[in-house]
Amino acid sequence: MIALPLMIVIPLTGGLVSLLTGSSRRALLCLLAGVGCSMGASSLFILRETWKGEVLIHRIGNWQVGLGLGLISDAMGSLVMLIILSLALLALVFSIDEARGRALSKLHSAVYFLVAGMNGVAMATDLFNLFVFMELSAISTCVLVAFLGGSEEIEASIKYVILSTLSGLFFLVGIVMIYDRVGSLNLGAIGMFLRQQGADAALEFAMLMVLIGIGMTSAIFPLHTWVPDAYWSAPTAVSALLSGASGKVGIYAMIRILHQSVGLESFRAAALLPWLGLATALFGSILALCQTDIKRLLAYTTISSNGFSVVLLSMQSMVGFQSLVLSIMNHATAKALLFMSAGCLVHSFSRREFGKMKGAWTLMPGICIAFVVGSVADIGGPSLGFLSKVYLFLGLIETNSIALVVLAVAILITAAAYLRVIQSMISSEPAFISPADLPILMKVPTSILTLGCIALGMAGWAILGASKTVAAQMMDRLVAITAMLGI
Amino acid sequence: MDLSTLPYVLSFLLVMIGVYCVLSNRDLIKIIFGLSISGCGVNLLFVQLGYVRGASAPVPPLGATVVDPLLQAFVLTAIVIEFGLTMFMLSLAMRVFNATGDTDTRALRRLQG
Repeated sequence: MIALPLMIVIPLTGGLVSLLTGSSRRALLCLLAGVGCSMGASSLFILRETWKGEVLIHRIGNWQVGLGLGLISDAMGSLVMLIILSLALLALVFSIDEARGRALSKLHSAVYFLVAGMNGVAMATDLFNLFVFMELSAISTCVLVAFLGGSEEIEASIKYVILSTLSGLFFLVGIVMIYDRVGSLNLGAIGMFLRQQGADAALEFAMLMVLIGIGMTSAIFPLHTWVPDAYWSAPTAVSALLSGASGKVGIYAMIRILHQSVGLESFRAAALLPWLGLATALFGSILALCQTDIKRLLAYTTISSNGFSVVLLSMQSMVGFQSLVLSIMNHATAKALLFMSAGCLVHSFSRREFGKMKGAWTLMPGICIAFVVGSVADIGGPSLGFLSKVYLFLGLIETNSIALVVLAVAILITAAAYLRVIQSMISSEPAFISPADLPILMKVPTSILTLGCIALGMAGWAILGASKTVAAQMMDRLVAITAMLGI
Repeated sequence: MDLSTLPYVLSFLLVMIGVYCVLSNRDLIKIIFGLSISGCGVNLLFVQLGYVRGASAPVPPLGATVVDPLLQAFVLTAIVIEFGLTMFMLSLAMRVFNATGDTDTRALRRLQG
């Protein structure tokens, strides 16, 4: 299926071409339209084909199974790629006015490379291939974090690059040890091997290493420290993309490796996973409550929602996966919306502390409404988030009541954190500064996301039905393994 | 002592030296060196896993046994990725040096996680 490699090739080409445009706004917009249309077409095509229940396979260079690299996409994978694409396009439009006067073409180029990396992670069938795409997205993330060039931004980027290099090395060690045992790095072959032979001490260790590598990208509890700094430092458009898409890609890679290939029951370190998820959810929300900076607060709530996803993934039940599908769609739109409306507020007040944004409600009601819509959707108010939370609790009520209580507390604390922001928005104290006018290219993506968030909530029951098919396909490990083997 | 475990021990040592370097040093350049040393350790692990004693290179005409070519392809890719990351880190270190006149990480304490 030729559409699969196109999802990587087109953004890579876009990244190279945008370096040639030399920051002319019109050229960048033309490129954006071209990349958007071509990727949108192939992404929708992949979605249509996978929706029938097929798993699409592409063997690069037609190498025989076990030697060459492959790409696969199931319904969930195509959904993740659609989310990446739409958030990236909105973020790129948003960034044109946000990063005005800076080397815009370089920003766009790094975002295109990031998209290529994330799409690669979502489709890879081979551990080494996955590693390469993870590093591609890590390097582009580093560039984007350091983009604004101040000393804080450089510091955040250094922290991230050191952490990601170290965890990448651990991941590589895991890969070598798995290759030594299994004789192949194809995820399907690894899954077959582990199911037949089980994990010995070396493979246990190797899986722990892989868990560290992948836990870094999806910001699981002890490895989450880079997230607040990185999201704080990056241009807000990029934070929206990182928060909405990057974390979700990490979670999807975890599903691919830990559920579809290896199987959580086949190694012992997996028992840690639900507890790590709980710790991530709780710590993220508590630290969000302590923040005074709007972007930092949103970064911590992102960590918290990644924790939710890890708990859902470790449940390994139909209800859990259905809730995961819903929550990935919901969080992607809600978090991107929150970051973009926060970006609008930061742009017009030129402050990042939400305590200084008093009176925002009267000055720019539209943006504040967007923020409220986003936060309601994120905590699981009446929206798609509500359905995902209901399924989460349905799944947990019989299996793990401690987790249920902890997650409920985490939701309440997150809600309190958002309420603090909204409270200072509506407080009637006059603002000391008159806010700058918002450029149209920042308003449009924010309103599109607001409408998207509301529309997803309205279509909730229809999406719920569709999520069942997606989750069932994701659950079916045998289909996934044969697809990854390329048979 | 069985000599065949020596490469494993060596690469393990290299990784550990690198990690120790990263954790114990406060200087950015030394941290970057530490990461590179660790990277070399991992690469060595790759290379020696694919090595078969007395085997020939995996190019035609093939001998009776050949070394594993897949691992050499992997290690080449890993080296290129490491090179890119190291370059990027060094350029960041240069920016820090230009801003503060030093590459000490203790100067970088403004962000608190």
